[in-house]
Amino acid sequence: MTEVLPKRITKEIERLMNDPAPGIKAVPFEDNLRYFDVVMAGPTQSPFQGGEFKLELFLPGGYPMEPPKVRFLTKIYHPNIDKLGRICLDILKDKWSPALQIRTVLLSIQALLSAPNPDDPLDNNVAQHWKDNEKDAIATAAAWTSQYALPGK
Amino acid sequence: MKFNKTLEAEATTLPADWRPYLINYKGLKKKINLIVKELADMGLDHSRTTSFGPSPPQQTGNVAPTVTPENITTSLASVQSVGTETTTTSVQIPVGPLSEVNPDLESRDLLVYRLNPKTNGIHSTLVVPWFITSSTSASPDPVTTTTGTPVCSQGTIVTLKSDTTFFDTILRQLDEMCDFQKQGESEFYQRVERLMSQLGAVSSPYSKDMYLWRDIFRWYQAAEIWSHAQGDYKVAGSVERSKRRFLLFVQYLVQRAVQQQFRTSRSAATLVEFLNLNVELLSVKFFRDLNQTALVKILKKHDKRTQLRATLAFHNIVDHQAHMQFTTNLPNALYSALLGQLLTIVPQPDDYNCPLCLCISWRPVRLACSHVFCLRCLVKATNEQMADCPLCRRPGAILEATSRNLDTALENFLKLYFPREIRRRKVQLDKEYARMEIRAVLGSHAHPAFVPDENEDDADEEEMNEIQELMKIFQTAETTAFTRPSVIKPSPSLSSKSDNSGTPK
Repeated sequence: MTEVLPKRITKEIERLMNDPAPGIKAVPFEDNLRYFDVVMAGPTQSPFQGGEFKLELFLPGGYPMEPPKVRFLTKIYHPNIDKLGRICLDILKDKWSPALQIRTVLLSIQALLSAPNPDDPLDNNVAQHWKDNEKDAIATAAAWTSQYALPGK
Repeated sequence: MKFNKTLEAEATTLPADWRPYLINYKGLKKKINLIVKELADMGLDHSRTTSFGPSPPQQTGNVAPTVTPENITTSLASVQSVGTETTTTSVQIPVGPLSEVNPDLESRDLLVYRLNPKTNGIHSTLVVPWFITSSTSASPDPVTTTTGTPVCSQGTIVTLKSDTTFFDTILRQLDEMCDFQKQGESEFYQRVERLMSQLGAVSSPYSKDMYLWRDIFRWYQAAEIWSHAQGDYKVAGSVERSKRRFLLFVQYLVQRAVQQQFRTSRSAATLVEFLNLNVELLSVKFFRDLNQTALVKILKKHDKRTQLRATLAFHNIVDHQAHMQFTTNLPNALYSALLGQLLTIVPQPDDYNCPLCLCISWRPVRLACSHVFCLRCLVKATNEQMADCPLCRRPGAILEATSRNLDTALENFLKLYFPREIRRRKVQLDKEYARMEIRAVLGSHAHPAFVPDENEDDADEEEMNEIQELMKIFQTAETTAFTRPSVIKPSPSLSSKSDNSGTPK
């Protein structure tokens, strides 16, 4: 049976379409409006600048009482994002609040790209690299950005 | 087309009693001729390429004068001193850059406009530099001193009579216009006030037309008739734009047959007055822009014909006059009065949405941190073991909430002002309960036929689509209209002296 989409999700989609957040594009699948294709521009002043990162976002049945599931599809060199694209961000886990929305979640992820947090790592190697030699780590991140995240790839 | 003709044509669209207060462009033009003549009589006509301001570069035509003393080539000047005895002293001075003669002398010091406090007029004097009258003369004692002409450290002071008259006339006209506008302004405010009390009545929850009025104001906002008026007057064709959008708004009202739908005759009358006020606002704005253009043009013409660069001096004087309100944005002030009051009168349901379901709060609960949510949303949150306020994370805010946290005052307000939204939301919630119960009994494999669907609550979407459609209409109007040449040039601001394209010959 086709699921009845809660009003809240419909409203969020409407707003995402009509008034998208800068540098973030989120489009729901036509056959499953709980599943979104996301394209996020790398923030300026970060090693991810100039990159276009693809993500997938899924709203579970319990949304908004449970957080959306978000994952990077584009490879990215970041201490809080692992090889599978999973993201370590408190609001996606224990700090989730139903007052948060798709839009705010994606903005938070964009902010995480600007401010990596190696003290709360998901990928230990990357985090160690960041701690030991931040300059070098940032150079690697920038290299990954131009290798994997160039627009149109 | 000559600006004078354009101005006359445009003026006919203004209300008849406003027309006398437009700047008398034609009359002022004649006065400029007098100045030119006076200067010529004094031997200062600019056909001699003599200029007390830097002469504009010949190749580019009428370029705005720039102050660079190096440019100044004072080749020949004959000065007739204006004294009690009209002795003629013609003195030739050598060719050469002004800076060589006197490096301290800035050309703009030569023309002095002083405000005469007694008459509130401008006293225009020209300082004819000493080097013009005396540099080649062997005698260090200038001839002019003997004739009793006032002098200063830099030269002879010559009163420009017709130039003084010219500016006196402009100032007087501006003053008259200000008085006229002030009068119109207070009248307008009174009308706005009256309209507001009428609107308050016809759009109140006790009026049958509340929802219709709410629609009208939503359309009005979507039309963005005045949005550009908020700051930037330099936006191309902003009066034209406002006019166009206003017409579209009116057309839309007609198309929706708003007048026929009103249930009270009072509503109908109020709408007419509301539209009339908007028309008035358009006229004020148009009048102001027209005057602005005329002033800029006449000053530019003055400077070009006489080589006296008065525009700058004029702005300084006008700015310092407290009673001069020519540059204040009258339409702006009126508009904000209108919109400010409109918005407080008519609340929009979206301002009362629950942050969790994004619908109008149903049985609103106010937590200790004073954030408001639907009762039902909070119950759902409690079921998920959430304890803190979803907005500010105040610890335990949800857990501590009791029946005393129900905000009945807000609930009554919402029921009063948004009866349809509340009713619709209640139906939605009832169906949601029903679905949950059916699922609880039949499990997740329930046949769709048993589950009530949600097609009843499309009203929101319809509203949304309607607004989008409306915006599209206005948007297309915009793009098509910009390609159309507008008759009058967009209001040049007083300070835009670099605009050289349209100077009339």
